[in-house]
Amino acid sequence: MIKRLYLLLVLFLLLLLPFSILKISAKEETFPNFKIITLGEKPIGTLTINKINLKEDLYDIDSPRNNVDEHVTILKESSFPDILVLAAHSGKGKIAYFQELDHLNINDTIKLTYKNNNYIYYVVSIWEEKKDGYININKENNYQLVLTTCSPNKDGYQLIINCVKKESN
Amino acid sequence: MNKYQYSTNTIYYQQARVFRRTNDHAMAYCLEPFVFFDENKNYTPTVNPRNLSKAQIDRISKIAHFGLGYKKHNTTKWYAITQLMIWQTADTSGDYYFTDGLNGPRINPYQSEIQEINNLIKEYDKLPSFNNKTYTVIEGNNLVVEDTNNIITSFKSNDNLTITDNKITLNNIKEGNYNYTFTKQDNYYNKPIIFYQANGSQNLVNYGDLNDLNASFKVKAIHTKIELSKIDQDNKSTTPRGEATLDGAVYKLYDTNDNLIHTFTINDNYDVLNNIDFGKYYLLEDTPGIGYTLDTNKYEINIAENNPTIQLTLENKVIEKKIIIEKKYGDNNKLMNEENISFNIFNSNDELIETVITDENGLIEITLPYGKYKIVQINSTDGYSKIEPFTVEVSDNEEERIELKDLRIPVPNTRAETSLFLLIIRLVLILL
Repeated sequence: MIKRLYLLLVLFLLLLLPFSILKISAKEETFPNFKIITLGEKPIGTLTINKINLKEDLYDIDSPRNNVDEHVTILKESSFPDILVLAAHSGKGKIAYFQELDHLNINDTIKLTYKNNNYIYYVVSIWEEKKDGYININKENNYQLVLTTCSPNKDGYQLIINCVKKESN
Repeated sequence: MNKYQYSTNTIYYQQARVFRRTNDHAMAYCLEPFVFFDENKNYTPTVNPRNLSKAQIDRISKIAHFGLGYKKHNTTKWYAITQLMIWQTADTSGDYYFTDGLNGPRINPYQSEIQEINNLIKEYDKLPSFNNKTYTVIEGNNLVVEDTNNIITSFKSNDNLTITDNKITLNNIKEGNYNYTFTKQDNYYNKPIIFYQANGSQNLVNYGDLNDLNASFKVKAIHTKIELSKIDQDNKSTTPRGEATLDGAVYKLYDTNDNLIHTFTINDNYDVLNNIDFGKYYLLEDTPGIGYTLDTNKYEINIAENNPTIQLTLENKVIEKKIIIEKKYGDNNKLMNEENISFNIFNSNDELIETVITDENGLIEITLPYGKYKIVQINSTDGYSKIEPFTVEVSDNEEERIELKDLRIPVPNTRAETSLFLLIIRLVLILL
């Protein structure tokens, strides 16, 4: 019984600590000293999904900032404009940019600003695959934008949202 | 009256006499000049008096008909005139003429009367201008036949036709061969012309009504038609390929002056134009059936009596497209040809029409006719997904290349870690 009370006391004290330092999921805030910043580097583009209130910069595919623990990330297998594959965290925290990606539906639109040009895509298919470190995508004849993150609803699955560029763009 | 015999240079002469039948005093004409007449002989009527040809019998009958007793020919001079003309017809071995007194000098006192009888005979012999003609018409048409001799009204016909003025009208003639006959009947005297003959006495002829005069013309009504049949150029059948349709094709028929005569619209692979007039025409396709290319041929057509039916089998080439499917797989930076991948091709009725397989280069080449097709991947390389079913539409002849790439792209871990706070809460709950 005493042991349990002791543990409760420790937990209470821990709860008094500032909330910001308790979180370890956002690497930028937990370990600011390790953040790699390339001075003067500007984003290469911006991903805007109004439906989930997302507006996030994209960095060059070879940029150190182009990593999933900091930003929405352009995967190396992308070849814009043919196919652009973007990955980001879901779940909780500031870097979980795609935490509401599952709210998207077919025909929802996504705005991409890339190298100062604006493109509009719309969702054509949504599916989930069992996580194995890869996603399978059918390359279509249209210019594609693929968004992927872990499934927020189904452990061990990867959510994939396939979009194609609107012809009028 | 005298007769000059050509062969012997002999002149025969006699006083004109009138022969009358004793029982009714009916006049008769002598048929054998200067042959003895024995009034005691028993005469028998005949239609073939001896020594006379049919032509002579016919002319003598008409002379007797139009001679004495016909209308105003009621004086005895008409008897003499009639007799002279009968002799001239019955005996061509000599020259018969009137004389001034017995064996006197030749005179020609009744030339106008002779001419009048000849004119009456000529007029009577006149037949309608259409006699013995054959008219060829298109079935369903009307025919108006005009008698330019203007004597058709003196004829009657039992056939179903209308005679107005000098025109005969036939309406809506059906296909077939027709013979229309007309008869002119003479009832002026209400008695027949009779020839009489007796052995040992010369032959005689009475006057009376002439034989019926017949005329006719023929009509040949022909059914003409142009029949069009539509087939597919490739399969040579009436079954269209793909989702194309042979029906609905429009052909236009023009005459040689480029006037539009008729528009054909193909239905059930067929159309026909009946009873078009004889002539030369040409046919052009105006609009092909949906999914077919225009038939640019010019078809010359000649509708004639000996060529009344034209049957044309017209072909259209279906629109078809060569489709090349290029199947690859990899991670986008390194793509490989995907071999032995099967695809089922379904038509718009979801009927499987063909299964195709990629070769060692990951290629499939297939030519599809007009239509919409769903292509479904059947198998895939291990670890790779299948291409979502996709649709191909064939509406032109342009070759289409479809690149299908199955990408297998590595992704980083995208699960954000749980906060320490939540971990602690979980731990507390476990401990409690």
